[in-house]
Amino acid sequence: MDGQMKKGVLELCVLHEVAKKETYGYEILNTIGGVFPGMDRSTVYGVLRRLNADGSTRARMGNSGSGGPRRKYYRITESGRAALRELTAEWNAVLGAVRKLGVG
Amino acid sequence: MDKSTYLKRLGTALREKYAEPQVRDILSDYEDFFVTGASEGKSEAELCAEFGPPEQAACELKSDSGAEKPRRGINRAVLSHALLAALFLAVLWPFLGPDFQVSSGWSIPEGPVNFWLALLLPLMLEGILALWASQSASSKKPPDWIARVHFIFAVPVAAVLILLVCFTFSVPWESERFGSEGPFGPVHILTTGAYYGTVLSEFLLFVSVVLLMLYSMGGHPRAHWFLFLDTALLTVFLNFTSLLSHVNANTYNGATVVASCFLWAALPNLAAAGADWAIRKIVSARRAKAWTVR
Repeated sequence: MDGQMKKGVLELCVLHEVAKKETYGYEILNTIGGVFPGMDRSTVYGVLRRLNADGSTRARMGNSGSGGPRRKYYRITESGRAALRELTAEWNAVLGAVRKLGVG
Repeated sequence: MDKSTYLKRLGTALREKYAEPQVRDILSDYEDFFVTGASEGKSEAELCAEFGPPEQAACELKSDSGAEKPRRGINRAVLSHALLAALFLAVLWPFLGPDFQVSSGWSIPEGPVNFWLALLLPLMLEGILALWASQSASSKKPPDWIARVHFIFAVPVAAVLILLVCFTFSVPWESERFGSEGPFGPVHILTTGAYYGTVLSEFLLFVSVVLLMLYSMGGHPRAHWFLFLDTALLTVFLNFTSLLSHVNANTYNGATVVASCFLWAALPNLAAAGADWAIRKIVSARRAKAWTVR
């Protein structure tokens, strides 16, 4: 997967993960990297960083559960939720259109 | 690959595109990933493989981070350095009149030319370097090897040309140094032996310029220290042969002039490096503030 499509799909996935619950960076990378075979975790990190920069997510430093080191936790913002709704609608539209042609 | 190698390579790749606070922020995120990954039972090698090659990771960040501005186009270190050095010299110039030269043992017909050159040459080099650095830093694509070779040789050639012009016009034609041959005489232009420099010092000058350019390529974070060292050493080299001949002839107090040459070359550089350091601190503090956890 390459270029714009990858970017859009990854944004959708990252927003979806972050919308479910407040979560830390490595978990997001691992969950999403795990379902896309052959994708570098760094690609996911790039998307996460960009989303955080444009205000779709917000990060804070927090303690990990069992007295581990402090790490960055991400949660979704209002504008992030709006972007997620929009991307989900787009995704469904694309999926529907492609299905209509008999793909998949 | 292990964690420290990965972070090191990632840092190097990132520093080509980002300012230090952003680089540190990204690196601390990766360190975080390594720690968390290890706590989930993965080895460092496995994690490195998961993240992908560090250089590629840096590229991903670049293409996916529209909101993050890359480094500024102009090499701030070199530019502020050259500007400040020029400023200092402009302010101090009037105080370096004939009296100063005489008191340090330099008689006007033969001494000052070399003295002024020793001061001016590093400044000219730095000016050219600044232009060169801003030009190379603002180009979007990394230059191909022909462009690199062109850049590497364009600056020393330009520097030597400026030097020749300066030298030609600053030495009186009737000066004994030139004898009856005039400024375009066969010996005195570049390898003037006792007067300007030996082949060795010219060669060292050339090498130092090339090295500096390589360092300032892509805005090396320590460019100003190399410039400082270069200028200081250059001054001593440029004066060494003539100093030696004067000391041998017992015409002046050698130590005074060595000290003053070194000082006048070192002071502006030191001040510029300090100012540059301060600018960096302020800028990076502001960027860090903008880039802390949101």
